[in-house]
Amino acid sequence: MATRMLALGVTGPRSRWAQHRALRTFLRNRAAEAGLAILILLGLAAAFAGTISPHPPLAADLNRMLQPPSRAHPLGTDELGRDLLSRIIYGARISLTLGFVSVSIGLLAGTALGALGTYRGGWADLLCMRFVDVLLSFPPVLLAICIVAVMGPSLYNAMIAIGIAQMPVYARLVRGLVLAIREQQYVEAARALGAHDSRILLRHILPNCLSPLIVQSTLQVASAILSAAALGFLGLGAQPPTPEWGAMLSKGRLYLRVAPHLTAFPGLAIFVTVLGFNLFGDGLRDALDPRMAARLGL
Amino acid sequence: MHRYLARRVTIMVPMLLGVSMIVFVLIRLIPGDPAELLASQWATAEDIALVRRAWGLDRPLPVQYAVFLGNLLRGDLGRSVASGVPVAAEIAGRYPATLLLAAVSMAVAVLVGGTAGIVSARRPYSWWDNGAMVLALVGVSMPAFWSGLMLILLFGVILGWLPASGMGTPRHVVLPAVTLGLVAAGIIARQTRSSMLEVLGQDYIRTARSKGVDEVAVTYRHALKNALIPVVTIVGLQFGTLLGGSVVVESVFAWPGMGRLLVDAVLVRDYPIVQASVLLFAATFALINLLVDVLYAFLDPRIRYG
Repeated sequence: MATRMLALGVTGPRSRWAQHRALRTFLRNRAAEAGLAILILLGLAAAFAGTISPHPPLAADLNRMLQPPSRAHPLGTDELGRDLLSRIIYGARISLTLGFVSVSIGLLAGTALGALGTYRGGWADLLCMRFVDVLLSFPPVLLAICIVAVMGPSLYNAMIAIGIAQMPVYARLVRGLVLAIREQQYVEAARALGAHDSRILLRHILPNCLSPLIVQSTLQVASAILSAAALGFLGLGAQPPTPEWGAMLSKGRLYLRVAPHLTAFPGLAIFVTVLGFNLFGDGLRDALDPRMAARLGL
Repeated sequence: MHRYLARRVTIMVPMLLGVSMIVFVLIRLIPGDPAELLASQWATAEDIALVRRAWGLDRPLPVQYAVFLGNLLRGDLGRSVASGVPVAAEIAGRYPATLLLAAVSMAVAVLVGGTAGIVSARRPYSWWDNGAMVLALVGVSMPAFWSGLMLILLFGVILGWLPASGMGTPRHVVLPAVTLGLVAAGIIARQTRSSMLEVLGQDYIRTARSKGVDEVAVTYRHALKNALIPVVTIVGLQFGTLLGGSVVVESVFAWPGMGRLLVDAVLVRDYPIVQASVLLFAATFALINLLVDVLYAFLDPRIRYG
């Protein structure tokens, strides 16, 4: 996955040398490697959840409620006697989907908003940017909560709400990039050759926005997973019996004194996942943005 | 300075109008008839028509918005559907609690994050630096509701040192503020570090060192002052994260603030409360960012003339 993303990131006027340099920087970075390893493990767990989880995630067994970790149930059982490890493994599937879907929504909508407005300029630009400014004046999670309030609490609505809440970040980022790239000589050359606006935007400008967008998206997946878990925890996201980590935690906390494992393990899963995306995203940024790395003396 | 301030305040007015418009439209997008929601569940069709007239719901949307805005300016936020109490009264008791929590959390964040950032920047790539940055990343990656519950488990249940929920004594604020503050501390630490490193690479720092200024003065008098600007921006933006995070943390610690109120209101579909609390959160965030901009102009005179 890393090599494909890196290859995507350096399309455009970068040399082969730069590609190798980016890859080398990334591989030299222990933290980024650790992040990648976490993500690969998570991806595998999500893909093969059916095969590797010891029990079905929804199978209740009222004779085995709230049991501490044991050989049969490595992470113990929850308030309905369901196997916690299995639920956490299935939860990886939900959280990864959640992260990718909401980031895709934010990325597509935000990029469209930022790129079109900026490239056209004038009224369109002004309108888009004022809209983005207004969205940005909501504290991040609150906009998502507000949207969930309107659409009703569910897993799907949480994805949409978080996607919309992430949109302004991308619009801002793309705007800055387009403004800079628009002035480059190769864009001028394309225009002189008579290329159409949409061609310039899609073939010349957007491909050169890719690497910052990929870096930002990796970090945004981390924040989307955190927000979704928070919504689940508040009862505004995934609903029981869905094995979503945040929702599991909100049930588990009722038994904090008698069965702390119900709170500890789902939270640990969220933490490790988010940490993985953050480590990986930081590594990507250092590898793809040599200017920043040089400035920080790397 | 005055002109700069006037300009910043005038920018805020259309922003807040935009925010109120979005909240207004969002609440009206809710499927179902608000009149039915407001009337009791045994209401007849005539009753509902009456409610619709009484609340002005039969008038065109722009008119409704104008009325809503007029009421808002007079401090009339409507009544809670669930309790019948005026929304302003519900909020008045809760808002100070949230502000208190956010302020103490920010103090924790700036203290912990700032210190970690400076320590890191003074010895880049040392064990200190690596350790601090790993901790910062851990802070950023932990879900606040989980770290909060773990702190409750450790200090409230196992050790019994601190109260696990509620509000009242200064001891009650410790766990929620640490939980909330750690999230922002990580981001502040990273920003302080990179901004300090950038400044420490400047020519005037080399000049100061070569003329024999001691390292402490270089760090705090020459570097820190100039590194502060981007840090102040991040601190302002982190207030938004803290206000959003307060929703979660208040739920964990049964802290009687706005966040808890908002979540409960969303769950029972008490829209006047949702509308008012979201507006208040956004207005607070806008005001804090205004303060940050003013602080900016104070810290860096160049900005005033920009």
